[in-house]
Amino acid sequence: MTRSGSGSWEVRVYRLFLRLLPRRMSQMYEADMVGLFEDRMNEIGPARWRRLAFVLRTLLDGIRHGSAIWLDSDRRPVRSTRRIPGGGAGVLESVIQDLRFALRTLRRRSLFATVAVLTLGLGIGGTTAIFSVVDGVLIRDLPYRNPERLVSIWKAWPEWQEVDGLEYVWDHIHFPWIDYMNVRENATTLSGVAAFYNDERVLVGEGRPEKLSLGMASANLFQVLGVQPTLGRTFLEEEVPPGTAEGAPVAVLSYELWVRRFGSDPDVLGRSIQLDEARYQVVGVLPPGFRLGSDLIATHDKGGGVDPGLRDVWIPLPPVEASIDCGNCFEVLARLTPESTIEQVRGEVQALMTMGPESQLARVVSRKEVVTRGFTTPLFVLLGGAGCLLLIACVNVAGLLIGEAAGRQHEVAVRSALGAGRRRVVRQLLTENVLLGLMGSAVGILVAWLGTDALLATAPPIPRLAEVRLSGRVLALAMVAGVGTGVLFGLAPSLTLAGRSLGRGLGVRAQASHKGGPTLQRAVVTIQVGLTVVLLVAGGLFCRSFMRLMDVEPGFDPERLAVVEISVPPGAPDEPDETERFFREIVRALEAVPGVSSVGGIQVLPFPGGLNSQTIQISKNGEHAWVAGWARFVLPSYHETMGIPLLAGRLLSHADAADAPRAMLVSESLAELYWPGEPPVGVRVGYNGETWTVVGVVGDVSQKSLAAGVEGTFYVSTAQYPRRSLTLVARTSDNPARYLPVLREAVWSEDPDIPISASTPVEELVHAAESDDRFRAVLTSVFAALAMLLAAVGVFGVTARGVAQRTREMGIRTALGAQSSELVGLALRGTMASAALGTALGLLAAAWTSNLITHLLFGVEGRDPITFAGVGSLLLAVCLIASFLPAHRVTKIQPMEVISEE
Amino acid sequence: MPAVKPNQEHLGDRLPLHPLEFQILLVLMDGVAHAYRIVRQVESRQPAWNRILPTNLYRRIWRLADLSLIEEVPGEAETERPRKHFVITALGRRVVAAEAARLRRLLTEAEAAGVNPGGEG
Repeated sequence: MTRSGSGSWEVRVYRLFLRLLPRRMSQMYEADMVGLFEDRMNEIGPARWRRLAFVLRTLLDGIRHGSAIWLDSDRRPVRSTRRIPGGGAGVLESVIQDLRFALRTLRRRSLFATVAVLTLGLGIGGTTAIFSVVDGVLIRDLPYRNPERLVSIWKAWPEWQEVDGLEYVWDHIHFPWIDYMNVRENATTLSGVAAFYNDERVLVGEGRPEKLSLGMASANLFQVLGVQPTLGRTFLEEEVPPGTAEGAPVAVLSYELWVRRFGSDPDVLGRSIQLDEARYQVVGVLPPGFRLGSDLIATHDKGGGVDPGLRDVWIPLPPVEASIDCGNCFEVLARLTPESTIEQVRGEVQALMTMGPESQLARVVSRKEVVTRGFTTPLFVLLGGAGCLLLIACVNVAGLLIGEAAGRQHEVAVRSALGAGRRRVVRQLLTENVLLGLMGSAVGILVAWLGTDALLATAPPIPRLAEVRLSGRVLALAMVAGVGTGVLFGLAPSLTLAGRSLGRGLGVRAQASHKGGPTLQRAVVTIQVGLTVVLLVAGGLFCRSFMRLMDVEPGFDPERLAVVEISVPPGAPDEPDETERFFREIVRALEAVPGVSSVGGIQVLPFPGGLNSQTIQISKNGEHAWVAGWARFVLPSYHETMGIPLLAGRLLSHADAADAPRAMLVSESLAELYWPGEPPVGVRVGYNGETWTVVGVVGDVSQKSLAAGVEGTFYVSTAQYPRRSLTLVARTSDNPARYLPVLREAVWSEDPDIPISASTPVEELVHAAESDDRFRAVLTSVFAALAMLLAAVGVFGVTARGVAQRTREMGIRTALGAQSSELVGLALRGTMASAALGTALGLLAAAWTSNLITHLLFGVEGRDPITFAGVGSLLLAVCLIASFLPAHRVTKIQPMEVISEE
Repeated sequence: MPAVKPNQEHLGDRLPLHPLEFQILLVLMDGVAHAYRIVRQVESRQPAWNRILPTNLYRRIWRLADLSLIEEVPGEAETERPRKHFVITALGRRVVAAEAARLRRLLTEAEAAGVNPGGEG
């Protein structure tokens, strides 16, 4: 479907507009007009700005010609429809009359209208942009059939809960093949049970070799999910006959791989591709954006990163004999029958599990919860912030309207005197406010349109971010917010105005006092300042938290480190010596690149690192104990290249070869935990069935993120613990991204069949690991700054109006000899008292709400006294300046002028 | 509606035509067309910046149909989307001719006054 398909927001906006045309015309031509609009959009193509410009031009053209159509239709004899008796058209006419009048009034008061529309626009835009993210990530259904009935099933092993390093995985244990088959064949509460797991393969023979992420799925996976392929088919049941030795070699490509490597060629169906050594026949292409993330990676709240879930290629699970070895490796997805509940499924699965410890529990969680876990609170915090901003904007506009009402008593009184009924006057005033709200919505939608883009560009890796867009629901929210504000906050002033007695209104003239006004206006200041304090405190806390985080040292020097991930070419002999020689030659080739000073390698880089908690056996005072640590397999030059300091003993070297005594490095925190006071150089530990000697102690490295702190880690050489793929890091003399192509060529000059995967410089990895903290800090600061601006505008306006309304009183006071400082104090007093009250109430509210965000903070308390004191004094200072500027004007009042005006 | 044979006065009621209405009728002189084709044809005869937007076009179409200068006819579906097809009526042809004559008269008057259309003078 093209972007301007009937569901696109542009078309929806135009359709909405067409409702405003005479019904007789829209009945005849609406579909055709929309069609023409789509044709024109298609001519423009995907360029976003040009599309936006075209929509705006169409709407302007629509307003111009639409109003002309209304005028024409009044003159035109009605042919096909009759006027509704009792004035259907009459009401419409008077509404149009009201609208015209409202437009004229707003144009006359253009400063007021501009401030009100911009204020509303900012509030609505901010809220709408955040809501579009919340809507896309949390509210909208997953892109599957009946997604609410999809669940993930795990085992939970409670005894692992307390084990260091296993706290993330204890309740995310996958299924062994036998239990998966048990559940699949016997569960009556489930209508479909599927399993998958993730692996990697090298695509060979289609240009340069490339390491692909691979999903292995039971044949029914796509059926259970309810996903239809874009091209061809998915797997057939007979392709994975459980229990037989041969699975048919078929593969389904992701849409993205199909576009990237096969140029969207539909003839790819039936083609044979080579993954590692095996050949597969392509039978289908999945829909664009199909994702199925591994839940294990997504279980980290911090630093684990999010598995984007994009698998390049899917193949059916290998037959059962081959699968048994992988142990608890199957991620299980299932679909509930219409009658069953999650609790029933849990009970049934519990009874069907046969492998594993006695104490194990079945865990059944809805798929949506799995996907959005850990992101709900942060997003709702941001939505709360945006809502707060909207509320401030609304209150601000209410303040403006109340102020305006004071100035319009005379006009309203004149209109009443000329025979306008109370209802008519209220309707006229409401029409103005609704129009104001609509304009605010329009500005808000524009702000949201730009804001959503900016959000997506800076957002941390949140799941389903690709699904975020300005949907109909989001636009509806913007419209409702605008019109709702207009009506709700305009109603009170309108009613007060219309209810005022004629004589009084005529007598007061514009500048006279307005009894309800000052109290209401002060209440507005209090509310506004209070809400601003809440936002400022949140912004301040997130900023301080982020600055604390930035002070944390990662334990290595992340600058100028280029990264390439390479594997032994498929088909190369699986000999430890060969593999060792292979990597040594690659490292030599890379070190020969001009500008590269040293090259190291590891199986998984920190940020976000990988879960690889393993146990080593230590002996102390004759007692043996198994302790957990993060296992890292490295090339000898790794620590030197990364800039990780050696604290005791020596680093690994090429002398620690396959046939040499086993050598191990431990990190500082591991050493201090188990050998406090004395570096354990020379100590022997058991690992992987062998005895290893600790030869040195190195500095700690943050593995997952800066906030997550350090984990005890041990390092062994890949010569003694062979790996077939490694991540190589090269210390370069300047921008590492520029070295990537050269480094790749250097690798391929050794062997053109070496698969290389896309890799990111370390600095960017570190940057990305903190992106959610940065995002929160930036976003809440923007909200807080806007809120403060709005509050300052509000305070300024209220004081200015107060001064204007008290000109006469001030004049008389001056005449009676009052000092200017007294007068300024008098003008300031009311507003500043409200601002102080607002600040106090806001700080109380912030103390309560900061509980909600404590767990998102790093190194700062939710009730951080510095933040609270800073915010309070900053806001009072801003309010003082904002009210002093207009208050100062009282000193310019000439008593004689005031008195002569009387 | 009773069929009234239009005379010169009836035509006069309908003149002058808006330039876009005139152009639409000119396109329909060539045969049946839907809105998008009308737009493309008219735009091919004028500067590129002068795009015809939907509300404007349908305002004119509505008026022309109301004046019985064009009418809707069933057309062949070229795409999956049904489009309204329009044809010029006999009255429409006479109005175009009358409008052209009016324009020519204006042009002659201008030339007589020494205006040189298309030239510098």
